[in-house]
Order: sequence, then structure tokens, then C-alpha cells
Amino acid sequence: MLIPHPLLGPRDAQEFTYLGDASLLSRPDPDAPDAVDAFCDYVFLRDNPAGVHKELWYHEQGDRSWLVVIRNTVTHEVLGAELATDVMRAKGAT
Amino acid sequence: MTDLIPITALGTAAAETTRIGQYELHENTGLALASLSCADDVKPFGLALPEPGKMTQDPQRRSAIWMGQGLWLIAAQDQADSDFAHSLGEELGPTFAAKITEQTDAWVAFDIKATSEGDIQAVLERLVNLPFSATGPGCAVRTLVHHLSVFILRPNRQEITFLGLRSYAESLHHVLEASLRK
Amino acid sequence: MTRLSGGLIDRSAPLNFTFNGKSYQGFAGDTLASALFANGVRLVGRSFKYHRPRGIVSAGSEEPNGLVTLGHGARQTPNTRATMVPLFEGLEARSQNHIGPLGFDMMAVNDLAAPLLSAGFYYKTFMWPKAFWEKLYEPAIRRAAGLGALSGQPDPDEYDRGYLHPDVLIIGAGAAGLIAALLAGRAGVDVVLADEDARMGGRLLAEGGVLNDTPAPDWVAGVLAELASLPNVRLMPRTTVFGVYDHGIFGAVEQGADPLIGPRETLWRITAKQAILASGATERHIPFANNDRPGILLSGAMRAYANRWAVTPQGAATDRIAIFTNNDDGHRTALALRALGQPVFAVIDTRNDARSLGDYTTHEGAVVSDTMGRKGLRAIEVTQGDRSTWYECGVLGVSGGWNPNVHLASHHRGRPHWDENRLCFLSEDAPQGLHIAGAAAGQGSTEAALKSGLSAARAALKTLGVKVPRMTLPQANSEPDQISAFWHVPSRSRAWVDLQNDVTVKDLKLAHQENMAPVEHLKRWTTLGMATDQGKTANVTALAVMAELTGKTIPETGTTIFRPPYTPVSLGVLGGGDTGVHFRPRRLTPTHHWADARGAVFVEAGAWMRAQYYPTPGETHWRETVDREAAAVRAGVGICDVTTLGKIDVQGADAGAFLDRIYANMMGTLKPGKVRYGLMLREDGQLYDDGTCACLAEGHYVVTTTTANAGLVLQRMEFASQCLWPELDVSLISTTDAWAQIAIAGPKSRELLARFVDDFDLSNDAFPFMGCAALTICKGLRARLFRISFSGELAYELAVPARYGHAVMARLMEEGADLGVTPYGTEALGVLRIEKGHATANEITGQTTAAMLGLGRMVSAKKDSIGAVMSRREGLVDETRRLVGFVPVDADDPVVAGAHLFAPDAPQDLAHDQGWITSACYSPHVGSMIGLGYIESGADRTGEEVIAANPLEGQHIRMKITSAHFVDPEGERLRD
Repeated sequence: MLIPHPLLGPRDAQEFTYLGDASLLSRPDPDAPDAVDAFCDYVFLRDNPAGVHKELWYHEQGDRSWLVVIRNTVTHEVLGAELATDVMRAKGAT
Repeated sequence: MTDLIPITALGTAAAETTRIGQYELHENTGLALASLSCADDVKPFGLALPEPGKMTQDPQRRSAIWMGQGLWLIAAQDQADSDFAHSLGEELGPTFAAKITEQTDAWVAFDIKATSEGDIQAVLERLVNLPFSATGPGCAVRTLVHHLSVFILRPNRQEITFLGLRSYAESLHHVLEASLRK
Repeated sequence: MTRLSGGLIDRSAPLNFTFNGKSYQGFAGDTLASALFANGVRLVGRSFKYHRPRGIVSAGSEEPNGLVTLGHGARQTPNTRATMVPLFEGLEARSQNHIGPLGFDMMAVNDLAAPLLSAGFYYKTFMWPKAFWEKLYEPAIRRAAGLGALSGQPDPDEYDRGYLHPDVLIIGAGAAGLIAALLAGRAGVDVVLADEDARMGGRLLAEGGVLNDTPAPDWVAGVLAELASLPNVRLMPRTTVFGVYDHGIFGAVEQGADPLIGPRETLWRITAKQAILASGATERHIPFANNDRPGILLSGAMRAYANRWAVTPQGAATDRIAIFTNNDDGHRTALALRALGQPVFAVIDTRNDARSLGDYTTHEGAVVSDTMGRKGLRAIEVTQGDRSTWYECGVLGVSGGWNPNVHLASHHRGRPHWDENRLCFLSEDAPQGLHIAGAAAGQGSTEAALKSGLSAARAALKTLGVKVPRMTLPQANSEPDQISAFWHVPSRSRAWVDLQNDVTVKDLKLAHQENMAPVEHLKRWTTLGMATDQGKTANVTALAVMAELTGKTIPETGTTIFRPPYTPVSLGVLGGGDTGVHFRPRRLTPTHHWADARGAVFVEAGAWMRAQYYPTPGETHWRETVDREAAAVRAGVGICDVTTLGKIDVQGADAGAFLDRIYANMMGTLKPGKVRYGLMLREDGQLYDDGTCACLAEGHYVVTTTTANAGLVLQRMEFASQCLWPELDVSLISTTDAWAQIAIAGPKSRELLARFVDDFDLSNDAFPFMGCAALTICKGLRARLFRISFSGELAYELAVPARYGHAVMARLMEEGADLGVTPYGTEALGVLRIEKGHATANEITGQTTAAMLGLGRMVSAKKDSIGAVMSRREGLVDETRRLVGFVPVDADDPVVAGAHLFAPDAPQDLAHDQGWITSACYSPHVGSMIGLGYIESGADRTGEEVIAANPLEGQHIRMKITSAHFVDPEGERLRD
């Protein structure tokens, strides 16, 4: 597979390490009253859709950036990739 | 000056040059390196910090290499025995000094010189899963070479530098040497 | 026995070769197959199951029969298709799968036992008694039925690999591929043209036609010359594209140009923006009784042998030739051979309206219904209506139509669809960016192939956004092929469908009767389409026969789905060529060569090679060495390379705040010049890694990790920095390789170190336990010093630039000789840490909590950190197992890591399991073996006796629970 790195262009998937569901970006508030429950969901429950999925890929053998990649898990079509830092900053901005 | 005598990454007393056909493979033991983490508005030694995948260099072959978001590797020839991170900190001043990490001994640098660009291409296509155009002069890309993480620096058309982790020097040297022989 | 005139062989370059020890001669340009034919050798092997005499049936990579072993000794290569081996001087080939000479195979008795070896016989017979399978049946079957044998020796050949990134990859250099390459090449894009054949041109080399009045081979030569002159075009003959992967990535194997020089094979990973599949078509045969005799070939292959290699498969020049066909292409072979003056006496055509296209007899509405000739065809029986006649015949060409090679187009699960007009499967949903052209797209005539090749190239160039140059196509043969469905000649004798796996029409019938009709079942029940040819000449025919048997249409019966590889790929080339010490990269410590010179024994720790122990003369057992090393550290001073522990430089205004979130304990409060032990948790609350964190200056920390987790901890820290808290100003970089780090441990370590430091006060007050400093040693070498201890003794870790590690180690030995300085390896390191009760990966398993290590209070409740919330879950909080020490009640008893712990009188089962021993060693300090381990309520059970059970070795050993700190439990030594 080729991962379209937002800064470096298409790079072979061999350069990357796969983590999985990008919901890991949404770490729950540790001070919330239901924090343990929220963390249980965060740590143990993942979506595993047959179809379009947002995933985390780490460019370990490259610039060491974490990417959010939108990929169809059935066809392996990659619909887009963003730097996780950009995604987080955009989240922070809203 | 210390009386301790350093060794090369390959474990020899002095850097060796191997000639293989039209190629020359040489361990560059003089390269001083330090990483610099900052926004791209400083000019270490007057070098503009390069864009992703690129390097910039001056006539003294001091260079700045893009490592990652907000992170550069600053390199200088023949200064490995200086306290390079310290000099870089002096040069940039206290604001940046705390964003510099000594990297000279973290890496091993192998330079390959060839007689033509075609020879460089022949080596690269056996080692690197990137289009040749992505490793053109001025490029500095980090990728995998035979399971080894390396920087590929292209100062000019007939030369290429492989920057690998120092502890993997022997394996990287084998990979490069075997590839040049094929 | 005949060489014809013409052909594309170089008669001025004779080449000598041997087959089964006998010497023969061929010419440059020959394949092994054509050279064998030229020498009248028709019998080349024995069939897989029945050991029937077999000859070559094709002229390409689809060859099911002509499998030979090349070379000898370590270079022996089995299962090589004779049709794909370019002849070279000195080539040695041997036939396979027979006992005794090829002409008199002892295993041919299997042919008489055929009724026992029908479809599914593997599953039906040899079932009883069960024990016989492994010892008797399987070895016997493997010996009797099989392919060639490996040499059993290490492969001495060289392999290579490489990567290409063309704009357009063109697979197949026949008419369609060549014209596509020419257009793309002239358009200026980067082109790779790959063909499995040593000579490019595809069927154009096999047909006698002309393009614009130029003989096809000359036209090919002209195109290749232009392509070779274009710097943007790379011609790759002998290169098989074997697999299609995601996003335009292709796998290809290039055979070495010279069998003796350079890599034998190169694995290419080709990433192409666009690709054109012009892989041609494979002819299929028509099963009839005894259709597997040497001398029966595919008709198109016969044409190729005649036109390209100037040979026929005749045993003798007088052997008469016939063609059996259901289409016009069979007649083309008859014409070609007639034109070369060959004795073609008949074309047997299944079509009632068939007519001769030249000077030969045509039997219309007729079939070949049987044959004779054990080791080579002698006669055929032709049946027309109810009249059967035997004819003397030495060579029979069979044409059942052509199957487009759509394999690569369906590597992404694309299902080929049945084309009722062309009677073949065509690809419908090829992967994105893959254009199919030529015979692979059912466009078999030269003109149609050129046209479709051109339009595929146009489409590819348009997608690339490149201006398409104008090009006019040469005039070429455009006869459409008429074909009528005819799949097999019914018979009571065996008619082979799959020649390689000995699958007959009878086997298909039996499979049908036994309800193994679905294609997937059919394949496994009969072994149809397995082994090296993967049914290239068999699958579609089998499907059609099965359709006939079930009364269904072909599409209803099924379709074949193809998976990589297209043709067999050697494991050697997939391995990439690195063997022995270079099989995988290894990391050497800065003192590796020093240790090596001292005769150290090394151990692999991940990729690292670490000194395990340093034997001295007279030591005969590793334990002797390790005991000496460990004792030397406790009594005097030892030195050990600990560079492999991960080091991560953490800098930035928010570095302290960041580390507070990474570590479970407080780290942000650490002052410059101080080191603190830290625990990292996983987000689920379990322990992840431990190590030290040193504060070198305000906002500058060095985090150390365990050797195994060095990369992973950095990855997690990058994740935290980029994905969880990007607002924190922190930068991370590994410095593991930058510093040679040497542990100097033992009561005399300060004394030794004092001889090294430049103007640095090492006194306990000035540089206490858990202190750190940047300093210089040996008159000016920059260094870092950490006062930390893994052994429990007064100890330091000294870091110097990696290139000086060797010199510092040597100097420490020199300067410390009078102090008895002793280098120690990982084994003694392990003994020292077990004696001190320090945890490593044996204890931090991913299922242990900080509390289990007795460090529960380190997990700060005052701040958030990774894993903090989840560590407060009930299940983790209620955990009572604690790390304790164990000594055997009888000092001579062993302690085994992994043993489980039980109360002395309790049954030894899961329900009564109280814990386990994590680490064990012989302790020179205690004088017996000792262990660390987790046990329920361990905090309160000191002095109690338990049983350590190791059922694998029948051990049940009485243990006494002790403190985990066998040495200096109060920790006075390291603070001294």
C-alpha cells in the first residue's frame, strides 16, 4: 500500500507502523466523574468497520509523524491522510 | 585535549575507503551533527532551514536537514571532535540552546561517490523504495534500506550519503558494499 | 530429430548441454525444450501420480509436464520448466519423479493401480491404521508422487532486490505490449516493459506473419531498437510480474542474464502509476482418451517451435503430423508446418462445417478418440460419426481455443466473467489503473492486439495528464478466430484434463458423483490446478467439463480466482539474498570489538549483540565465569556496557509537564543534577516500562528505557506529544546510539572513577546517590555521569561519545587493574539485579501492576498520567500478588523460572495456583539458587513455605518466601 503523507507525498506502507482506530485521539477527561467508564470505552472498545475507517499510522521509518489516514478496509482505497497534530489543533480550535 | 583515541563506527582505527568498480565507499568520520527543534525562522550558520524532504548546504558543506515537523539536523564536515551541539547553541543563543541535542555519535555516515548520476541511480534502485526523483540533489529523505532506518542525503549528482544508526554501521556497510558489487 | 530452416536461433553459436547424462547440442536462442526437440528427445519426465511417460506440451510458462532439475550439488534447482530455460553452454538437466531410468520407471506400476488412485484417494485410503500415516503412507506417497528434490545444501547463489517507480508498467512484450511501450516511450513518461521470456516479442516471434510487409520478428527488432534508444524506457526481459498488490504495487522476479555471473534472480518491487496488462493468452487442449503421450502438444506451441526455434516435436523426420482442433487457429498450425514442408496429413476438426485452409485433408465433425505409443505417439484413432479409423501419426497438435491470461487482473479478488462468443474468461473489474490489452483482453489477432495496446497506452497517458503522440499502426493479420464449443471427447479410457496433477475426466465425474462439484471442492478433491503450473492449461477445461456433467452453464459452475504468484517464485529471491550473519541487521555496542577481542560470549537482545559473559582461561563452564563476575562486583568493581538501554532526549518549556503525563510518578519536580526512577503505565493501568529519568538542565531531561522497549517508548512518547497533548512545547529525539554508556559498579567504583574525572568532586556529599552531571574525563573528553545502581552496590553509569566507548573501556581495565576491575556481561548483570530484587521484562509482563512490584504508592493520585485512571480500577486495586524472593529449603535444589506456586498440601491445579516464579539464578551471594516471583498476599508471607511446581520436569520443590532484596535490603550500599 501507499500512504499519501501530507508532507512527503506517497510513501510505501512498509515505512509505517499501524496503530488502529483514530478514536484514540479522543482521550477522555481524566477528571470527569465517569472517568473510569469513559476510559474503559476508550481503551477497550474499538470500531472495526468493513468500509471507510479513520486510522492512526506512524511514520516510524520516516519523519516519525503520526497520521490520521482514512482508508476503506475492504478495498484498501485511501481517501486521505492528515497529520495528527493538524487534526488535534483543528479539534482544539473548535 | 583528551588522550583517548576514538574508533570508527566500523570498529577500525581510521576511516576506510573501499573502491568497487566505478564507486568509492567511504565512512565519513568527520561529520558533526546536532538536532535543532524550533520554528523555521532561524538560520544556523546562515543556513535557511529546508522544507520537508530537503537539505540546504553552504560552500563549507555545513548543512541543515529536515528530520520531521519542527526538527532539523544540523551537520558540519570535519568537526566531529568538537562539541558541536555546544557551538550550535552558542551560535543560536540561549533561546534555542535548549532545543539542541548532540547527535554526532548517534549516526554513521557512509559516502558513496560515483562517476555518473546513472551509477548513483543503479545503486539507489537496489536499495531504496522511492522514485529516483525523490532522491535528487538537495534531497534528504529518511526511509528503510534493507530493514535499516537511514537518511539519504544527496549533496550533488555524483554523490550520496547514507546516514544510519551508528550501532547498525556494520550491517549498513555490508548492505551498501554488497549492493555496489552486484 | 529435425531442425527446419529459418527460425530465430544463432546457428553460428552451438551450445553443449546434457540431459540425463547424455550430451547434446543446441544453439544460442534455443530453450532447453526446443533443443531437446531438435535432438529428438520427446520423453522428458514421468507424471505426478501414475508415472506415465510425458513430453513437453507447451512453449511457455504454462508447461505442466516438462519439469526438470537443473545443475547438481548445492546449485541443483528442481521443477524448472524446460520451456523457460534459455540454453547455455554446459547446462545440465535431469528428469524427475522416476525410480530407475526415465525409460523404465519402476513406479510406473502406479499406472496399473490407477483405480486406487482416483479423485480423493488421499482422503479415502491410507486412513487406517492411524499410526501408519506418518510413518509409512506419507513418506511412501511423497517418494512416489512428487516433483524434483532440493539439494538439501545451503543455496550458494546470489539474490538481489530492487525498487522501480515507473509512470507506466507494461506487462508482456508481445504486439500489444510493444506498441503500448512505444507510444508511452515516445510520450516521454518513464516506462518499464517486462516480459517473462528471454526474448521480447511474444507471439509475434511464433507466428509467421508480416506487419507492413516486414516479417514480424524484424518489426519486433525495430521496435525494441527504438525503445532501447529511449532513456525513459527500461526493457526487462526474463522478468515475470508475479503479483499485483494495492495501489499500483507489483512484484516481479528477474532471472539473471548469465547463469554463472551476477545474481541468479532479482526481486523487484515495482510501484507504477499506471499499468498495462498485455500478458497474452494460453492455449487449452481437448481431453480425449490417452491424450497425454509424448508427441501430443498444444497446436500453438508447435507453431512456435517451428517458426521461432525451427524444430518440430517429431521423433523421426518421417513422423506424420496431425492437428486436432475446434477452431481456426489449429488450421493455422497446419498451414505453417505445410509451408515448412512438414508432413501434415490431417486436421481433425470438431466442427461440421470445417474446411481446409490449405493443402491437407480436413476431417470435419470428427474427433481424436484414442492414441497409441507408450513412450511417444505412434498412432491416433479418428472418429467421425460412428466410424473410427486408426492412422499412423507421430505428432499431434491440439487446439481447444485460447484462455486470456487474466490472472494478474484478478489478484484483487476481481472475478473474470465468461464471454459466450469468444468462449473464454475475460476480466471485468481489473484493479484501478490496470488496463488490459491484446490477447489478455481477448484481442488475439495481431491487428486487434496492436489496436488494443495502443488504446490502453492512450488511456494510461491520459490519466497521467500527458499529451498523447500521434501514431499509425502497421498493417497486420486481422483474421478473426472462429471457434465452436467443444470441451472433451467422451471415452471409457482415461482422458487427461490436468496433465501435471494427473486429473482425468473420470476424476471429475467421480468428484461430481461425490458432490464435490463446486470449483473450490473440485480443486481440493482432485488436486486439479495445483502445483507449479496452477492449472494454466487445465482449469477452464475442467470447469467446462464439470458444467457439462452438472448440466449447468460455465458461469453457473464457477470461475477461477487467481492469487499471486503467477508462476512459482523461489524462496531464495523472496529472502532477498542476505544469509548467515547478515540475514538480519544487528546492532553492535560501542565496546563490541573490545569485548570480542577479550573472548566474550555474545547473546542476542533484540537486534543487539550483547556480551553475555567473559570467560577467562581455565573456566570450563559459564556458571564459573558468571559467579566470578558477580562476586567481583560485590567485592570490588565491575564494568559493563549498558549502551543498549534506550535513551531519549526530552527538551522544551513543557518537558517537565509532559514527563508528568508519561510517568505514573511525579517527574516534573525533578531538579537539575538529579535522577529519579520512573514507572510508565499503559493506558489500561498495567505496568509498561521502567527506567530512570535524569534532569540535565532546566527543561532538558534524559529518559532511559529498557533495551527491549527503547523504540516503543519513543513511539508512545511521540504519540502523546503529537496526538494527545500537541499544545505542550516538547521535542523528542533518541540518543541511544550517541552515547556509550558503561556501568561501573561495586564498592571500589568511586575509587576507580576518581582516576578518570577532570576536577570533579565524587564525594558522597557533592555527588550523592541519584545525582547526575555533565563533566569531562581523561583530560577533556565530554561525558555524563549518573549515580544509579542496578546491582545494589555503589555504582555509576558513565556516558561518553560512542566512538570513545572502546577506549574508555580499555582505559578502565588499565587504570583499575590494581582494584581487580572485572568486565561483566548480561548474565552477571541478571544475577546482580535478581539478588537486589530489581524488576525487568520477566517481571513487567503486561499483566503486572505497580502494586505487584511493591511500588503502588509511586502511582501519583495528584496528577493525570497515561494509565492513571485505569490503574484505579477495582480489579487492579484488589490485586494482592506481590513480588517476593524465594530460596529453596534444601540449598541444593534448583529454582526454575516459570514454576507455579502452591501451598504445601494443596492440589496442584489452576484453582489453587498462588503465583509463579519470574526470574531465577544461582546467587554467589546467597550460596544457592534464588528466585523472584509473584505470590498472593506476598507482602505478609515472609518465612512461609510453598511448593514450586514444574510439572514439565516433574519437579515439586519446597521454597521459603523471603524478601525480594537478597542483598542489602536497607539500600545502604548504594547510598554510601
